[in-house]
Amino acid sequence: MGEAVTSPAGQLEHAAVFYAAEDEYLDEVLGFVGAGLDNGDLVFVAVPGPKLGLLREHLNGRAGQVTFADMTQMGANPAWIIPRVRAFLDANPGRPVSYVGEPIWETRSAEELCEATRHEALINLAFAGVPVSILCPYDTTRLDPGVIANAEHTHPVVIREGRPHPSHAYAEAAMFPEDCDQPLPAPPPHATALPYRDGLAQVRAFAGAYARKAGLSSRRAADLVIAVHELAANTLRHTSSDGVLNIWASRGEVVCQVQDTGHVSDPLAGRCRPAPDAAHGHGLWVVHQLCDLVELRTGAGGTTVRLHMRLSS
Amino acid sequence: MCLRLAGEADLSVCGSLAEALAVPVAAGGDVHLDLAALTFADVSVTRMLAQTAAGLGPDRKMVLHGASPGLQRLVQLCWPDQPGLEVTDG
Repeated sequence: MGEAVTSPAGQLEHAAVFYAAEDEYLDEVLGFVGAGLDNGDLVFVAVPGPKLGLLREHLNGRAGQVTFADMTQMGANPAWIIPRVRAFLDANPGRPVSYVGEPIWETRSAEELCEATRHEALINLAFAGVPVSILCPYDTTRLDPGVIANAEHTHPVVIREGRPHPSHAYAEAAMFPEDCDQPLPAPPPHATALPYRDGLAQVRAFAGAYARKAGLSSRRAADLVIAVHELAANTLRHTSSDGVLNIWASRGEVVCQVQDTGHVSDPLAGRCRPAPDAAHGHGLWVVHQLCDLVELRTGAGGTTVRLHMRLSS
Repeated sequence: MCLRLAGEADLSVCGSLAEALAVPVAAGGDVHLDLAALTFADVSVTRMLAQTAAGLGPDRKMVLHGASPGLQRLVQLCWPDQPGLEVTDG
């Protein structure tokens, strides 16, 4: 990286690299991986499956020194990525790490793109002060210009045509790009609503019956019941008002939305495994781990959490 | 000593569960829980089991027999390496 954009030793570096062709992708990613290995870093590469093979092939003899993961699995739910990278760091205490993470690809749904963009923003918070260098490739030929603009918002450094620059759009004050931080749209008219307070057994029975009828396997329906229950239990624990569960089926998935007057103050809630003896935090951790996608919006007006479970998973 | 739990257990039963667990904990030896008829357990209940197991000390353990897939998932997600806590299918 150029002098203008290097961080102090031992600090997080988080750069987006914009590429338009395969040779550009290979140059950038292999250059980053090679520099990391030369520096004695542990190197972790999580990119969509087909690109793994490409990178392995071009790393020649050095592929054995790199840890690889298929991002379409590891990051299918973008909330799984930070804990996985943290586990890699924790398994190698004191070692500097270079990490290539490509969490955004063109076939992701609009909701997934939004959550993956929020994940990119949360990287800056999760690994502040941690000696990890992160490179996030973005395919400018396949991704919408709005997605690229958001990458400039979420990365302190952007690399174009091989040259790193500080990103002028990077904004620590407004953590998330505006279009990824809007209130969630209202549930569709065919959604079924259930207001609740302390009747959590009824909430579980309702969500479980709906999920199984909509076609979720019994195991996945049980996971969804746990997730919905934990959110409703948080309503009971942290607020004095009713909550509302909405549930509906659409486009091959079951969606549950839990809304209450509570406020989630930690933007990283659910993305770090709480300590075993922690009195709180396990609920949101479990919710994020069990579901295919979680959308959480919180503010002075309350909290809305939308859980997606695909029928095909 | 074996304690049998049945039905659904969530945060609303944590108080009575703590009282019930105190008996086998005070009796000494390993604590065996028969959970084959427990159809649901939430994070609060699982936390109580894990923390009770943690408090048993180095020579004792808590064994969860017949835990539902959901309860096994919660243990695996939140307390995977909890000393003194053992989960068996039987």
